[in-house]
Amino acid sequence: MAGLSNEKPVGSRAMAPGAGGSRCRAGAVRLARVLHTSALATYANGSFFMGTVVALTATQGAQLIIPATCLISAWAGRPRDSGLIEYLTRLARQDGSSVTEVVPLRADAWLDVAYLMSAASGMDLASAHAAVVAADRHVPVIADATTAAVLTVVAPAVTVEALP
Amino acid sequence: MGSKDRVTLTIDRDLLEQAEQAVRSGHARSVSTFINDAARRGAFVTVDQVMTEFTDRFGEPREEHYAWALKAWGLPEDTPLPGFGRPADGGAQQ
Repeated sequence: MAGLSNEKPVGSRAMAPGAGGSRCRAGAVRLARVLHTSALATYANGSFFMGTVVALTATQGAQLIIPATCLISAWAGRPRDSGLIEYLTRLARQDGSSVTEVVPLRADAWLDVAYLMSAASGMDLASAHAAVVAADRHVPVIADATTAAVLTVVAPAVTVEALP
Repeated sequence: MGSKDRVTLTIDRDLLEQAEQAVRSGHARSVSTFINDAARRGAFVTVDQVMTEFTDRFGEPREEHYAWALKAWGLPEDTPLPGFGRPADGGAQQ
């Protein structure tokens, strides 16, 4: 199990394109953003910055990618309007095209996620999952400033849009 | 979320019993509410509906919020913005 050696560069496996399986979809969706737990919670607490991120999904082709772990964590955190988070999972444009993809934590991604969690003390499962999904899809993550700072260090290949 | 119409539906007996049980136990105000909620959980919600819900609850975003969101999406500044919740003035403070 050389892959579990602490001598391996932390995060390098997780951040390799397509890491964790053959599910790389680079190019399939040009305009997409991964929503971290903090982005979802901030939205459901009434952040206008996140509200406008959601509003702009009316733009054709824009897609919100929500790691299931982030979805669960944000909803369980009891934001002011958890119904808004629930709506996000069913979001569609006027023409019926789906806006949101909820991405499950796949069994074959466990080691990628574990590497990230071991790289940063206190990094939660959902944050690591979000980073792995973002690396896999080659799209930025939207997160709060605290999370952004951590991800920038442990997952430098992932672009993070830090909420104001 | 939207206006209501009165229609006649045919539903499975066990679902009706579930709805009636939910009303009796206080988990639904009425059979109609129960059916509405169940249908809504399986239905798409449009961006317009979500933003109406959002602005009704929290107020309307300002230009500065849209400016940041355009940047976060990597969209040009002259991208046409959605018609809802984008006043040039009067947006709530957040």
